[in-house]
Amino acid sequence: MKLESNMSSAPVASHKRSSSEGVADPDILERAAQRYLQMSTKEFVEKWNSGFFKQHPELAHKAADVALLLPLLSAR
Amino acid sequence: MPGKTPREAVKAYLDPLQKNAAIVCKGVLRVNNYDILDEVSVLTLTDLAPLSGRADLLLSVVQQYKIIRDPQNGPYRVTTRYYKYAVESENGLEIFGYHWHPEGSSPVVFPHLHIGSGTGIGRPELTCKAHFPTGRVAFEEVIKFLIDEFNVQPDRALWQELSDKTKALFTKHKSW
Repeated sequence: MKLESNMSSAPVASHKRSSSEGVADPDILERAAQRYLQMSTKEFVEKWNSGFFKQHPELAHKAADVALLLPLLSAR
Repeated sequence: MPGKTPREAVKAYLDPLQKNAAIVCKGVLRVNNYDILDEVSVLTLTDLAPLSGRADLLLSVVQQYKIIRDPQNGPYRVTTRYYKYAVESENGLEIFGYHWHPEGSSPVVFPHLHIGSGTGIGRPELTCKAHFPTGRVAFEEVIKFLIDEFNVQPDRALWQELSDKTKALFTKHKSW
């Protein structure tokens, strides 16, 4: 999954978010990359997009888990 | 889960999951998209959450979802595109994890269970590599499993009632 993928959108009317509606933010991705792969989000994205993890199957499982969080980088 | 607006649909999706998570931990579930249709979005715990009465076990929850139009029932609803419900040890080793990722790069597109190295099982073909086939697993089933089999102490006296109620909702609205 490329970072650029899955970013197509069909915007609808936006709403003012209430204070009780917390939003998942990119810090969650940063913590996951650090915990599971001991790297920053920036390094993870570069390695994910370059195919680095395909050459390192021992990391593939953890990398796939971290990649699930990539949509958190989408601009809101 | 249907809603009259995208935001309402997301809340109808998020709230039952949060209530179920609250049965076994103090973790907070967050989503990153309340408004945009057809975009792959994320629901996740903000941090790994120690399980009540079993602080040595940490719960990890991630779902990917999309808000879609559903004129017949919604007119909007949320559809799940991925789930991962896992329990880890304190030192970051996965004990087990229920996964389903039909659209990812993995050739494994059926719902499955991973047995992790955190179990202490010394068979590398099993730990993390093997994909044990399962049916689609509801989060509520994982919560019940944790309580029944891992002696996690439920925070809510009415956890059973709540779990049954939200599972019925899931069954009613799931698309497969």
